[in-house]
Amino acid sequence: MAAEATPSTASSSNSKIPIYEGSTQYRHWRFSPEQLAHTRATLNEAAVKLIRDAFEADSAGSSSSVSFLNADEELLLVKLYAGKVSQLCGHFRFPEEVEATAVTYLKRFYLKNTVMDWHPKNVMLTALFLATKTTNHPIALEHYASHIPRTAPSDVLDLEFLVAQSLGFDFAVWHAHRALWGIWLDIQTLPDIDMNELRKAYDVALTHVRASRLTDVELIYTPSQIALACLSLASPGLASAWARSKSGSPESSPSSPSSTPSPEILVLELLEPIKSMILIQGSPPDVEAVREVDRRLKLCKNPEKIVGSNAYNKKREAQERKAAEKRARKAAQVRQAMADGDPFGSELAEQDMVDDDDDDD
Amino acid sequence: MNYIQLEKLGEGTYATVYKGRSRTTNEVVALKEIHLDAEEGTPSTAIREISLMKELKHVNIVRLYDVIHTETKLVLIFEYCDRDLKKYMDAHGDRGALDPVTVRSFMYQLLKGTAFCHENRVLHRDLKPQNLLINRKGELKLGDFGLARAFGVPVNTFSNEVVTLWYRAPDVLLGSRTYSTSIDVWSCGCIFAEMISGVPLFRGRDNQDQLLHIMRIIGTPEDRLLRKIATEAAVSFRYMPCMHVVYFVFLYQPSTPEGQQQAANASKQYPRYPKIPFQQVLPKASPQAIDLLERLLQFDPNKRISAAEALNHPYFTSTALPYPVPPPGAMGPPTYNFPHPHAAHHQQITQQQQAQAHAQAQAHAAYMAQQGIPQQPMQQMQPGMYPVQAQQQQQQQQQQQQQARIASSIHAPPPENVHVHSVAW
Repeated sequence: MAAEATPSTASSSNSKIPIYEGSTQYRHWRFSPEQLAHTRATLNEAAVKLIRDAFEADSAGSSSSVSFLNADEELLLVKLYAGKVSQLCGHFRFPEEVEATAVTYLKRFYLKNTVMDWHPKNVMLTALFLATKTTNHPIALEHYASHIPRTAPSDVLDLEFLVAQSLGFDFAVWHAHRALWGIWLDIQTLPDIDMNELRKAYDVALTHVRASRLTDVELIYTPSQIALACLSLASPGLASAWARSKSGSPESSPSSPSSTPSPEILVLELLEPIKSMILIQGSPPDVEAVREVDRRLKLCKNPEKIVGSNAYNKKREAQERKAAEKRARKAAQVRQAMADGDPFGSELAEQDMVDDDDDDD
Repeated sequence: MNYIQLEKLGEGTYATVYKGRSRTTNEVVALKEIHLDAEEGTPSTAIREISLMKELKHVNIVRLYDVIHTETKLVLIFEYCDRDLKKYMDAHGDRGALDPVTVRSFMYQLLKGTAFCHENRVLHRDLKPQNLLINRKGELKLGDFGLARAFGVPVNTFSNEVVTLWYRAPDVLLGSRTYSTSIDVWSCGCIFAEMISGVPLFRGRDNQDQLLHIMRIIGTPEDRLLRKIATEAAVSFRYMPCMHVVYFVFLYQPSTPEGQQQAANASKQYPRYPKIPFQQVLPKASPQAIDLLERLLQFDPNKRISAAEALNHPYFTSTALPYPVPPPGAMGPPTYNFPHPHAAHHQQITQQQQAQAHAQAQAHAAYMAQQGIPQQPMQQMQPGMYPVQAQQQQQQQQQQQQQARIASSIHAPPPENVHVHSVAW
């Protein structure tokens, strides 16, 4: 009877929370700038250490001459390939949703992985292919791969699981360009709107949304905040008119003292960091700088991920040995269970079992 | 994998479903093993399903707990439900017909789940009894791996996908591709009628036949409306810009030749059938149930009630019991607590709820008395009902006892109670 039941049931069914806050994007892919920097630095450090060890295992002393990439350099490379997504989408005439989704996947992937393990050139192709599936614009893999130079279908497919898993299977993405479309529809209902001016502002705002895809804003702010920031870059007047209409406060509020700013002022203030991030970081990286990074990447790639290298072969052998051990263990368990007269095994007795996941660790 | 695979529950086009048990929690789950396609990798249908199910967390939607990927396969871990609505009706219904309390509870939950999908801009598009799962608590959940389908009902091309056809909205049959939320509402209406009567309301053989079945009951609409729908069908935009189209059974709608043919259907001449009152078709339904059904099954998609509005219909909110006439063999207040089929669950039922169920039964008895209806025997005062055979009586009474248990364990939503799940178990 009580509307508020036990917390466990209430949390699963509470429809009061805004839909966006129930999304995987809100729950799993929102960070502060500091968290982002920290995550990337930690990933980079761990990767460098691992790769250094792999080099040493391959031949001792060989890592001393290697100049590893730092987190910023990794990001630069990712950014370059985020831009390439756009070019490819233009070539295939994919809708904007596919493009935006692929870029998001690419960025999220590199919050879990390092470019020294997986080159963004390959990950980008898989991320885009995956995005065509998740947004319901499927394309035949054969056709897809044949239009990309030096790419076989297997190059795309080999990474599909890795990418999907790195994304935590959170495929649904909320985009700023959709939010901007919503604002555009909304704003037309306001009184005294000059449609010509609005149309122009919308077009300019959309270019800012596209530029924002090269930045971290989507990992920090909500799509609607980004959309409004982009509109504000295009036309501050329209942006504040819309914000005012949403907050329900009159044109000017003489009664409220300056100490308590109106909601729309707070919203507009929030846009400032977004705007400056888009203006400062929202352009493609300098190709020369990236080329230099890419050249060094060739020398500091994780040898365990390079097919045919000693380290790769060693890693493979170790994995196969582990898998064989696991199979033997399972078989032994079954035999034991049969011997105990319980063909289904006793799960309770398996509590001390070693990790039985098939993930590669 | 941290799940033990148990018996196979069914096989679909792109997946096999097994019952499973978690090694860590011992919880029973459904394991949906995706067949990987060597050509295209993970099927995009599976990817779409994961994508949407991860975002839809609601008590009336089957929960996707986890996605596990191993070297060779992809497994989706779903909440386990004992059976689908179709099987439930076969097992617990009176020739498929459910008792009014259960119908109201299931209908409420169906609309609740549908409204949540719509609120999240998701169209289910394939609501049917086989896709609605019922668990032991009497909770209804929108799901995808309808066991009936998985157990071999043909799932292939659009045109001869008969089962789905029965729940398809007339505007879709006429070739509309606008895919608004109203198409799910139509399906809810069909399911509502089916729960009341035990048989599908409109059973067409093909597109055209399905339309005729619909018109024979709700009447042939004005030419103007048919033309309007036809015009909309001709404008072939594939879906609303912000609608995620869900294919829980994942069929691709051929967008061209058949679509055009369907669009052509719309301008055809149809026999002018008069409307038959639903009360005549479903004599068992209460006036409020009829009124709700009327609003769900509007030929014109724009006139159909929304799932969210339907939840506020007097059928759910009024305090009147959902009985028009007493259900066959209506029971008096239970003199003892029927042994619950699932003892573990039974223990969880609070005293408060038992009291509630008892009160409900008493209220029911009072209602019966007030109407001057004796509690037994029942068959002679069921005008318009199926004649009840004497030899079936005993079997029926067993069923009714079961229904009584279900009815008392499923909470028919009281007026002020917004959420079914909010009743503490």
